[in-house]
Amino acid sequence: MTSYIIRRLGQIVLVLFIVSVLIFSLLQLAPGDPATVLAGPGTSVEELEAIRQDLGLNKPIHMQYLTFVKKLFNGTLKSYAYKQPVMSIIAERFPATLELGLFAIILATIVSIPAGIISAIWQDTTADYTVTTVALLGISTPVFWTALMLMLLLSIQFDALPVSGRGATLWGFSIFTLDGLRHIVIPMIALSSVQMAMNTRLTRSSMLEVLREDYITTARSKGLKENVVILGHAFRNAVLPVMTNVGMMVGTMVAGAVLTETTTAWPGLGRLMISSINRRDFAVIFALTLLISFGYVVSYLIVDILYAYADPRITYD
Amino acid sequence: MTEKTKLQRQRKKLPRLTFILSLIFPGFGHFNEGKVKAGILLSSFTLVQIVVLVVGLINNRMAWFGGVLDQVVATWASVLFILGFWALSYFGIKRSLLKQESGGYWTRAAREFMRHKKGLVGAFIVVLVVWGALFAPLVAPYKPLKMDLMHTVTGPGGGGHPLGTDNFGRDILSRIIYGSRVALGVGGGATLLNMVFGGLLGLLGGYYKGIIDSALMRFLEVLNSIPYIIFALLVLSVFGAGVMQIIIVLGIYGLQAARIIRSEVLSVREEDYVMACEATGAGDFRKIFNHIFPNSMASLLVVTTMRIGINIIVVAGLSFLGFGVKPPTPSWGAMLQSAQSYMTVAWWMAVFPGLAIVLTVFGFNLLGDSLRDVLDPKMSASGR
Repeated sequence: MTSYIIRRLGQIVLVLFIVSVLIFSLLQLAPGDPATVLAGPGTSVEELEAIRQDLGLNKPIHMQYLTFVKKLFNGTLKSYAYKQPVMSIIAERFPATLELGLFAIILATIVSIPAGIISAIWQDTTADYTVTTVALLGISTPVFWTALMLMLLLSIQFDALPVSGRGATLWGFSIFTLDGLRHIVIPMIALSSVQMAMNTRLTRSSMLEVLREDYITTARSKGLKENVVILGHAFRNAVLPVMTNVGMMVGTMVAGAVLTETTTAWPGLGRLMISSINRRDFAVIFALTLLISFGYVVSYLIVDILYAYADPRITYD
Repeated sequence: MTEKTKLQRQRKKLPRLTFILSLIFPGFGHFNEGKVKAGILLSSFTLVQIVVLVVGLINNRMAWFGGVLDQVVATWASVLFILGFWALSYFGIKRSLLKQESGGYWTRAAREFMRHKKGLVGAFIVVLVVWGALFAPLVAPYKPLKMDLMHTVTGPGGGGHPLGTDNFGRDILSRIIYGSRVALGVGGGATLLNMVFGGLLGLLGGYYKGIIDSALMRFLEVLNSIPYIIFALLVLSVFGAGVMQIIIVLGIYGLQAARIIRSEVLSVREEDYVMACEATGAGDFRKIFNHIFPNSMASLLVVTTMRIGINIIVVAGLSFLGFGVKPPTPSWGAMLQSAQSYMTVAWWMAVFPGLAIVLTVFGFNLLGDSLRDVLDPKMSASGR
């Protein structure tokens, strides 16, 4: 197991290195000179040259890459637009995305697993058709439109919730204040909707597969109560793929967060990404993309490791 | 001559009445043979197509030999469709009389599909959307860019606009109909790239294993460690937004399809018939294209259908963020983006384009789900 983890970590480092080279070369190809963007209009040629010197834009590309990475790691990489260290900008917005993503995952999980189980044990009933149809609609709906519709309905029509923004926070989190809680509802539901639907479908098919196994028949013929069979025998065996999917949500939430945060003006990393791309703030784009990729691959690794702990039959060598 | 062959001879001849009826109007022959459902379908499709043609003629929207290309295509296509329905009616009824009860894998799958309600609904939605995109110039009540300045931001039904107008007084319904072209064109184009290149890579990786395979898997791993939207946004901000760029970006990202094809190939290549083929001394090329490819076809088809839906959503998302198809070209995502500024006054601007996305993607997903059930029972746990 340890050697497996070490090998996987090595792979992660390699993948992240390739990603960083990829992003860096993409940014090099981008039109527009960061120095000009940074200096603003009406800067003299000498000043521009000084800025270039300062950012290391005059050096050969591989040297620029090395400086970029070095600065990123010792925390001195500065945002072109904000003139602050990139890491502090990211750290400032990170709690907002973390909170949104975390609660979206929790919401998606607690709704989807019971829905999937019900749909599987009552296969081909009205309840099952309702759940499967709603789930299929869920995966067919773009998150940003869900957010727009919730805003239209809850904020504009019924005036029950604030339209956008994050509201008051306590210790960096909005769930601790009533105002913040009112603000998080819409983005949270929107962000979780697609994952909720996908996880419901997965739970259902996973349960159906297990329910056909012989040991379920055995358990039933032993005279066990149906609840015990479903939860104790079937669900325990069906939960593995579902767990994997919940772990993967961490990654897919990032993509959804970009759209949800932009729609609902939630001040997190997703919005930072969009505004940095619009401002050609290469430093922030570079750091943020690497950070997100890191989160992505690490979440995959954690899922794989948990898998082995949850199911003793699985071993990695 | 035995009784049986005599009977077969007889059945090959179309009853005269059926023959004449099937030529009078598509579907009428089917009624005579007791195939009411197929008859209703055929005749109603033909009727709708004729109505579209006639309305187009009355409103002078046809362009036969010159003019805008899409209008010429729509005009000729409507004529060809009507003729096609006639041919379908005649050959369909003739074929159905000869129909043998068994048939190959695909014939049986098609017959099973016809009994699959969900799949038929999905197919209907997909056909409807594709049809609307093809005949947009004849079907849409207005030109997508025409501004009705007397009726800007007018609600549904106002000023002769069934779904209302936007801030420039452009008809929402017409823009949705034209917008389906972008959705299907970009979503479909990207999916085509996914499938051709992803399929090819998956075939090669799964077949040759070894270094090709591990290189492929590493490449997909790198791709997989960047969220698609960030990858797309970065590339689009570098190379500029536009239809071609989006198709290529999504085409590259969706190479993930290779993973599914690869695993399919890995299992197929161990089957006995491939081994048998190998034993006869067949080369790689023959093994791949005569045996492995046709046997991976079913899952390829399922993946393609589901992928189109995903790609349509992604295209809408990118346009919504302003990195997709540029206005004034009508696209569903861009329509939603402009709707956001008018949320408090014009709900219809935000509701209808979104419904169009949901309906279209829902159609493709339904179709994909059902195709999976029909073609590949082992992939779906429920058997439905």
